[in-house]
Parts: sequence; C-alpha cells; structure tokens
Amino acid sequence: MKITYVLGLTLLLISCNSSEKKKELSVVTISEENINQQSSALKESIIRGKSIYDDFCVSCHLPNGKGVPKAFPPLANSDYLKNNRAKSLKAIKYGQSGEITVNGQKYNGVMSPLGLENNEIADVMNYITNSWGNSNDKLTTVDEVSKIEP
Amino acid sequence: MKILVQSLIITGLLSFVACAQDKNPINTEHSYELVVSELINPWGFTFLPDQSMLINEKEGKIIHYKNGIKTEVKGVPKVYNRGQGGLLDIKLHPKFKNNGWLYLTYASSEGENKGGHTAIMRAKYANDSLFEQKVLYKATPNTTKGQHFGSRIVFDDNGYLFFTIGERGNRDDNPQDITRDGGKVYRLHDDGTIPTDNPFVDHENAKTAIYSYGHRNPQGMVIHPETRDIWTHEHGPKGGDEINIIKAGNNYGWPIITYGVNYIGTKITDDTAKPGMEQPLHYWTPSIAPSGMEFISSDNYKGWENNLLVGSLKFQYLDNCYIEDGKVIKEERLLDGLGRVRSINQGPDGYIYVGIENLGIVKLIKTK
Repeated sequence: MKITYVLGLTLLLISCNSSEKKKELSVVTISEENINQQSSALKESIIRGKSIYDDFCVSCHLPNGKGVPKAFPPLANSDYLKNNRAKSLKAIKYGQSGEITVNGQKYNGVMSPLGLENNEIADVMNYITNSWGNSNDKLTTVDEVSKIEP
Repeated sequence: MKILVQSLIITGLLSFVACAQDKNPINTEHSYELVVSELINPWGFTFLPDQSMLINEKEGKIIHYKNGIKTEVKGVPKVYNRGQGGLLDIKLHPKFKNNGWLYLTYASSEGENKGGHTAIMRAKYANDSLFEQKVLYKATPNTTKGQHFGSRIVFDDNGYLFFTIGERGNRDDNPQDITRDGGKVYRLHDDGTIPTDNPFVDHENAKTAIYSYGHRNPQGMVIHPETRDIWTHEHGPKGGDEINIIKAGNNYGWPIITYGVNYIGTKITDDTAKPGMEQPLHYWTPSIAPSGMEFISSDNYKGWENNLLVGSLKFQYLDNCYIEDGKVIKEERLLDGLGRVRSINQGPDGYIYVGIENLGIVKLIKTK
C-alpha cells in the first residue's frame, strides 16, 4: 500500500517536472533552442562515432585513445587534434602521411585512407574530440566534412 | 640517492613499456636488401616464371615489377577499399606456365546489400593485363564493417584451391555457423566448382565451399614443405593470435574458445578448450598481429631450415619461428622495427622476400 503511494507520488513529481520543462522551453530564445538541438545532435553523433571508432580506429589508437608511443599518436589530450581541426578531418578523410608533432613527440607513420563516408567522418570526429578528457562543443557536420579537400 | 631513485623510476618505466611488447630476442645475424621501393601496402605478391614480380597494392592496383620498372596491370577488379578491405592476396595456378591463370582475393561490394565482403577471382594474365575475369566465390551478405576480410590463397598438391575469409566483425553470428560466410577456410576446384567431397556438402543450407570453420581473421596460409599440411595463422582479439593446421570439417573454436580477451580487456569467454574444438599449435599473447606466412625450404639460410616466418604488423618485425615436434620452441625478431610486415614469399632463387608497409619488398640475407 505504502509502496504504491510512494510510486504514485514519484510519477506525479516526474510529470510535474516535465510540464515545468515544457513551459521553460516555450520561453527560450531561438538561439538557445538551436544550441539545445545542436547538443542533442552532438550526443547522437558521438554515440554513432564510437561504433565507427571501435571498428576502424581502435586497433592502433587503442580504447583509451592513447595510441602507441612513437608509432601511433595519441588522440586523448592531443594538442594536434585540438589545434588542427581541418587537418585532423583531412587525415580521417584521405589518410595521413608525413611528419607531424603531437604533444611534443614526432610521428612519421602512415595512416591509410579508411574509406569512411562523410557522415561517418563527422561522427567519429565528434566522438574523438569529446572523449578521454577532450572537449569540443562545436559540432562537426557532414557539410563541413564535404568541404575538406585532399 | 636521487640518482638511484631516478634510475629506479626509469627502470620501472622501461619494464612497463617492455610489458606491452613481447619477449622475443633480436637476431643480429642477418641483414636485408631493398628490392622494390616505394610501395604503400604490398598486401600480397608472387613471382612469375621469369622471376619478375606481381605485387598487390591494397588500394586496388597490381604492379608488375621487372628489371627495376613498375608497370600497372590492367583489368584489376574494383575493390571495396574500406578499413582492412581492399586488394588482398595473389597466387598463380600451379600450372601457370601452361594455362596463364592467376587468382586474386579482394574485398568486393558486388551484390545487393550496402558494404562489402571477400571475393576470389580467377583471371588470365598476359601482357600486363587480366582477361577472362571470373568471380569464383563471393561471400555474402555485404556489410559496412571495416574488419576481418582475411585473406590468403594456397593450392595443395592435389590442385585444390584454398582461401580464407575473416568473420567480418560479426563474431557472434558468422564463425560458428556453417550456413553463413566468414570466419572460414574454403576449398574449391581451380575453376570455382565445389568439390563433392567437401566436408559440409550434405548439410542442409550449409555453404558447401567451407572446409573448416571457427576462425577469426586468417591472414597467413602456407603448405608445410615436408608434411604438406596446410598451416594458417589468424589474428586473435587482444592476445590469442593462433597458428593452426587445417583439416577438413574442423572447428577452430572462435569465439567459443580463445586465449584472447576484448580490446578493452573484458572477457570474451571463460574457455580456452572444449571438446570438438581444435587447440592451436601455437598462440601469441600479447598479440603480434600476424600477416604473411612462409616456410624456409631452401638452403640459403643455414640453421633456419624449415623455420616458419610470420610477419608482425603490430610490433613491426619478422618472427623467425623454430619448430620441433609440431611445436614452436623458439622465436626471434628479424628485420626488427623495419615496418609493418604484411606479406612473405620464398622466391625462385630460394631467398625470402618480405613485403613491408610504407617501405617496399626486401630480401632477407643471413650474414653468418
């Protein structure tokens, strides 16, 4: 009896909460609404990006994004990834060769083109720039990826 | 005192790094010569009767290398170049001199579903072109997964054509199910017809080209020079790369039994052995990520006769395996740190040639 009562009250609270939220939503400005939409788009993209990462990237860059010293550069807390958004996207899209410096360490390996589609590249970029301590709230879009030239 | 502490820390760091590696010692009694330079990913290669080479570049090109000149072969099938997929192995028919047939495995997007799966093609080779291309087998269904296409090709002494296909990143559905492609060794006649004595011809709905199953991703296959058995190796997950001897109808256990764990360290299974499933002849933990496989059957390498060579993609060396009584008793690093070893063949001159990613093809030389 008591349990039913508590449960009922909780449900009531939840429903009150959501109606409160609806009210709030109706008064937010358009720009904030965009941000909200973008943040949920980002969340969904990150989820899809993880499955791309686990399929195509994890064997070299590892589940913790730390890579392998001298062979595969880290993505976690990577200054290169943070400061070179377009170059990073280009590497994912067309492959990477030639010397790069990541967190003070030089790498001169080759990453072959992965054969990913633009939407998959956007998703995996959103995942790696928001994982292992990385943070980037500027959503990478398919449109942005499509404009990256070889 | 301070120095002692520092050296302790350094020793600790070094031993930590060493743990991620394997313990195989570096052999110093060899060198190499760069034979073909400037290759991106020489996934497979073979020698023509005139001792020139046909080299598969993963991206989808065949290069004819003769007298220092590279010529691109025409008529190569379109490959699904995604993740680990692309143009894979190449092998000549045992009677190539008479019939001109060669065989290619590659990732192909042919068929209905989006994505790709492994195919094997037969074609005639002449004047740097392929003719009469015929797809002998195309695994289904296509998938956009980027992993585990296999693939290696061998002919046995009876002229049967064997090739491998990995489980395409679908370990729960493919490797243990003989009605599905992937995670298998296949056997065909040289024209693509299915031998009537293949092990699963009488099983309802089975893919009757299957010869053995329960594999993960075999990227090495070779005939033992004396016993004439078929030896394969395959990538494990994290740990548990295996060497197996392939027999008709056998189940090699993936993913029901394995010596490996998931990449993130979690368990795949509690079992490393089960009745009805084959134990590997050898396994590697940590994984070396094996690709390419060859026995030394020439007299060019004193003391290494019948040794098995396996490429390590991950640790970037050529693993020199000494075999005794069907066991790997010793391993050494050859070509240590030279690059990701992708393919290995003994040439008509008895020397070992090794395809290395972003480098080329090198000839292995024993110096003592």
